[in-house]
Amino acid sequence: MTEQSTNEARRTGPKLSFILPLIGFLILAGFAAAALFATLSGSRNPAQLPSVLISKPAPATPVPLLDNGLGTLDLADFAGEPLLVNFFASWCAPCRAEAPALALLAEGVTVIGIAYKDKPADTSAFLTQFGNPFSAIGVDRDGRLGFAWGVYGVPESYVIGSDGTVLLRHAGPIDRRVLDEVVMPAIKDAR
Amino acid sequence: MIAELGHFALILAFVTSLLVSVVPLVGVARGNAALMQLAVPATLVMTGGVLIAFAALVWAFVTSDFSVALVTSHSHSAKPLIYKISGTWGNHEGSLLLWIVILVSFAAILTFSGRAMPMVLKTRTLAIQGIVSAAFLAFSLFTSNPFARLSPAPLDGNGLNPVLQDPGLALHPPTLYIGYVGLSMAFSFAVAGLLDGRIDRAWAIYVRPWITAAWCALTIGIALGSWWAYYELGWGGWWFWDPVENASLMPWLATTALIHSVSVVAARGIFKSWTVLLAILAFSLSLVGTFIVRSGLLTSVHSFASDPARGVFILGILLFAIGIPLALFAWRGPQLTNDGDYQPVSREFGLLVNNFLLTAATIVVLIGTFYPLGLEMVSGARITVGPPYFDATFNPIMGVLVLAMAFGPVMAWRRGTLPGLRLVASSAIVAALAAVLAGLALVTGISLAGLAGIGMIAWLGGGILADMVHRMRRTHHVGFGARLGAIQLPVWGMWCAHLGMVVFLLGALGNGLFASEAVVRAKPGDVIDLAGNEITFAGIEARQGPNYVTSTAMLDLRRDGQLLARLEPENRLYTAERQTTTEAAIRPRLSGDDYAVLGDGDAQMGYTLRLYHKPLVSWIWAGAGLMALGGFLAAIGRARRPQRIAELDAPT
Amino acid sequence: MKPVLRSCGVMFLLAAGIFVGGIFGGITTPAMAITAEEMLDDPTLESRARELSKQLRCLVCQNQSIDDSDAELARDLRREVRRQLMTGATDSEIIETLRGKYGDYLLLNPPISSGTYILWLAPLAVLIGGAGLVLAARRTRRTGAATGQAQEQSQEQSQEQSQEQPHEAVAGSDDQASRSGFGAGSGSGSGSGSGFGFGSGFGYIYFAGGALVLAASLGLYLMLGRADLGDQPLAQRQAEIETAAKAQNQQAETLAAALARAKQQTIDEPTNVGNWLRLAQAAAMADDNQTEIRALTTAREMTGDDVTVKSMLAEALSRAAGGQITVPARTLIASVLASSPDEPRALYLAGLAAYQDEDYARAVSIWQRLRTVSVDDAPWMSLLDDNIADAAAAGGIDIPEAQSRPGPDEADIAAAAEMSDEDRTAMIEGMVSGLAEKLAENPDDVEGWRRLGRAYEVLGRPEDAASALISAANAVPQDIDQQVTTLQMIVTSGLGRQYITPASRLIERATLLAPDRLDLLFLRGHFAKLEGRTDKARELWQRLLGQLPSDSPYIDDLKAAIAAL
Repeated sequence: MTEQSTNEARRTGPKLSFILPLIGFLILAGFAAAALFATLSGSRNPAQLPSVLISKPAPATPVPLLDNGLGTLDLADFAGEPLLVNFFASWCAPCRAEAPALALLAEGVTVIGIAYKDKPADTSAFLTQFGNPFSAIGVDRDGRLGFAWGVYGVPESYVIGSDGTVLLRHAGPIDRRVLDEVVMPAIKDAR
Repeated sequence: MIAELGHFALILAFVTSLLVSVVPLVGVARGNAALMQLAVPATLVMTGGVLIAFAALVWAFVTSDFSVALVTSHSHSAKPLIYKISGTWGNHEGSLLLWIVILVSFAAILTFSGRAMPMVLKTRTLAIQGIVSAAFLAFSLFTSNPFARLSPAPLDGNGLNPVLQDPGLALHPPTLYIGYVGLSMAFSFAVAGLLDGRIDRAWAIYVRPWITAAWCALTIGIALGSWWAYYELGWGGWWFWDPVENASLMPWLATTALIHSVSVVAARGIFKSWTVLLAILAFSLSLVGTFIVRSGLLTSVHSFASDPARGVFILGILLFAIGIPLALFAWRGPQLTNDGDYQPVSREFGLLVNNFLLTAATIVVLIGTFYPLGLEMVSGARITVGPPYFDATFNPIMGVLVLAMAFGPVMAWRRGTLPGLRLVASSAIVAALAAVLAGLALVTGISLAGLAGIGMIAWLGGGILADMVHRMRRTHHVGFGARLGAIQLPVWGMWCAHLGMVVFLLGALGNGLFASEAVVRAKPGDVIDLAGNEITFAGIEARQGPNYVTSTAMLDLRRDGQLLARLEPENRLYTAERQTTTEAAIRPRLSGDDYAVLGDGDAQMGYTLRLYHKPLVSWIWAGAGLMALGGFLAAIGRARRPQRIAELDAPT
Repeated sequence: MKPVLRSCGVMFLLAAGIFVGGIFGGITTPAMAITAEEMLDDPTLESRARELSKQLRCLVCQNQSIDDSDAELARDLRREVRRQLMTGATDSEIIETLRGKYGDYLLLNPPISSGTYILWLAPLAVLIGGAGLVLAARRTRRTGAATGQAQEQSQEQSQEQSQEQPHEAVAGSDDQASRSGFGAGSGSGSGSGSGFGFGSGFGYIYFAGGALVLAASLGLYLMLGRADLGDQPLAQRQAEIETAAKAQNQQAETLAAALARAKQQTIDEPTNVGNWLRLAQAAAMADDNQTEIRALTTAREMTGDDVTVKSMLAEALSRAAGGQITVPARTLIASVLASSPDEPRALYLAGLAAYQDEDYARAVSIWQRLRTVSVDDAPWMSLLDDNIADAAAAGGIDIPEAQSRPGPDEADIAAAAEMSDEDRTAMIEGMVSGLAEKLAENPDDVEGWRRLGRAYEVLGRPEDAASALISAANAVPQDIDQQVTTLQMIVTSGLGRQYITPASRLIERATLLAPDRLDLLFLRGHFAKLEGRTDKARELWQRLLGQLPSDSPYIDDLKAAIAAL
């Protein structure tokens, strides 16, 4: 009986503090569940990092063209239409998987390739084997251009609007699904 | 048929665990002793099943039975026997089974050891343990079955990641799991106590050995992991604030708090609800760790090949095994009455401060670990929370804790006085001042943080020594030996664990402040000076290991022209797995380690050599060892001298 | 081919596939971190560089600073840090520049911003809030103590008492039960008063529980287990492993030899298209993609863009690209299908290309088209059906019931049955010459050779039939049945003496594959006899005799044949 009355006395104390752990746990579990289901549904990919360049003008660092090594690649030459800039390399295995989707994209959109840290001879052989969807190919041998763009791995692709601002970055290979669900909507918006 | 026998045994264990989860609780509700009694034999059957399953899996690995899919994907016929055995838990499925082995074994030990326990408490505890076991057995059987078969069987396996072909794998996971899973006992006791609606000193005394055992194992397990990373990863770091590391640190911090607060419950019958909460949280945090490692949600260097689908299952277990007990706590917790009051200056209050700081540190680590994920979910922004954040937030809290640690042990239960205060305070201050002055005088260009660290360690060391002197004075025995003998073992345990902290901090600080490093491109014949030693690069040779080939550098370490040791760091190419590893060469000494790593290079351009001298670095793990030893001593002391409940004893 | 991992340095790739025993040990660093060349000569700058490196995350790694990482990107960033240090930039300038390129994710020390206020304030909030809770708890405790000082006292006393029997409050009977312990055979344990005794109760519950558990376990095991599979420890599989290794070596040797022979033939007789096609085929079997592509390119030029050769080339290009139907291959396929929309290989590859584009509906429709234009016993049928099912499952498509259209052969035969003999022979002859032409260009079409052989037999031209079947056997040198069938045909049509040389090659090949096959033993004996090696023939037939079951109907004939030797 004494215990009962003591309980009564204690009931005046802060009860909220007893619920706090549960609330804290549920918040944590909520975030974890949201992240988990986003990962499962494919809308979250931890390997995709947001680019700092979004809505900013694309960096204008001129690099030599692959064809002869004489001309320079200047994105300004392509102003007025949406572009896809694709950083690739012959040593990059996933870049091989992109070629078919890029070829399809190139039927309607100008696709610019940047050979990232690659020997021009290797790049050419790569293009012969896997196809060349690019309207122009720049050579970024030392990765300087990639640094300017904040490239953190190849393949990496950027959608550039008609006004030269960066609209989208996709890190990782572009396959048909990425093309239809990520790249094409961005290009439609740009038009 | 051994593999199939194991599979059947695992299924049998699962079905039995369902029985353990339900029937005894029905028995308690209906007051039916026969149903309650069923918990014991059913727990034993469940344990037997899991042990048979685990033995069968080990057998499949040892005999390289590639008709078992797990063996094919994680073993290879050319692997040395020891790594065939340890390879059993070198993968998600096998390590999960090991986790379950420990889980059910703890329950089995309780059936034998808890004879004096009240029937209801014991039955409920076994049933809760059964529920947790059932959840994990279901996880194993239905998402990660270790006994999946292949037909036709391949002729050889894919091999084991070379990094894991190391004695570290044989020791570290089992120890760590004993710690993680040992906490399940504290958890089950806590939930059973909440169901009882009654937590008392007896409860605390029953649960305390389990907490101590889990804490010791966790301490050793984390230290082993840190040591493994230190020698295996090849740049001599020992802690990286990686999510998976944090996942082991959080339960450790919570358990450290628990081990202190449960002693208050045992001695004074207060802090009950808080202790119950800590017991639930400590195991919850170890479940969260499992979730992090196996769901692939947070990027970590240590994760399993991750599978979000498995993550969903674990999340379900988490919601069930943490959510329900916490809800129970919110409901029943306020009804747990305290048996007394305490003064602002008393050991109770000291331990409250200890718990407060340890819990704050745990929450900070928790926030730092999960914040990037939360922010990404809320705003899509991606940030990194790395070591600098933890240095800035966690370290100061722990610093305050270390300062307070010097005073805790001299505080008396209940009373509002501090009998040894003057002695402890003066020796702590004197020691700290002396250490700071010595640091200023001896080390040129020492940083402010370094000075603070040195002072803090000396403060704690001085405080512990003063406490020792104080306690010995207080005994009525004559003669040093007699006085020593009069000190109870649990007090020795406390001193040992607290001194372990001093030793650990010395190691961390010594390595942090005084480490020296040389990165050179060297050719055979070159001599490199490092920390007063001369290191001669004698050459490179190729060697043949059991399942790898190496290129081994031979480095002669000399001091004053005298050969101290030959260091042989190497790069290994594991032929079956086609992977390379870097093996550092270490000459461990109490005064510091000489550590050498071979980098890239060839005969023409020379080889990259990374050479380190790391003063006191081994004290880090020695300190952890002392802490665990302290826990062990305290547990032995209590076991040898059966507890009188009202007894005042040391919190360790 | 599913998109694979991005190539982001060794670290990332390794870490992605790694387990770890719960904690630690995941990183492999073959040749890690900074090299001597990267370091700056100025020790002050270099130590600043090291400090900065420790603040920057290697983006493609899992929680490593660029100082610790050996990823390519980490090296680039280390160099960039040092380059900027050399230009005299301050630490914060360098951090800001890099942050401007890569964002906050790069910084191990999260900068204070609207997104991180909570992160940085949380520790403070925890400390203050926690202290508040501690104080609040203490105040209520005091209040409680003040209002019920007396109660407190008496409660403490009762507590002391309750320690004697810690749980007496729970339920009067529990203690009793607990003291009796497990296995006690007496005492009425429960407070329910049901009189449920241990003795009878235990037996019943244990029996029921045990039976239930066993039954449920067995049921579950039958669903999950593989009781049919015994253990297969490696120690018991030596014979199997040796055989497999031998077969592999042998096959590798055979393939290499075939490739060398085919190469030699193209050198000896470079104008023969068949030689180039045979070389391509040998190269394909030996996994020599480059030779295959070269041979097919040559064959394509020689045949003037023959559709079959172009399709083969498309396949070779794709195989060289690890299975991906590359853009050049797609171009070839499209041009083939434009001129001959039913070319099976091109259709197959077009379906695969659609599949790789995850355009499963298109893949299914192309492959189903291939199915309808193929003969029912075409060798690719089962593979094709698997692929269709696979694509349909991936795309969630219902496959319309595959109508089994009669193959063109059956239709032709049905038509042929209504014709006059002359017409029929003419038609078959026409088909045969068309087939023979096709086969000259495409000598690896086993089914074609078989059909040609059958046709020649019907036409009463056994020599040509034997030649066709020998070609079939040559096209699939690993197919023991084809070797034996061919040999049997040669023997039964009485052409043994005439074809002794090609037959001995077939025998050689078949003997390697299955030295103990009974029908082969007979054939070997027969050809040995034809070669005049009667001793050898006798030995072989004696061996056959020893291996035939005693009730075999052939025994008498065989004995007679041996006697005739």
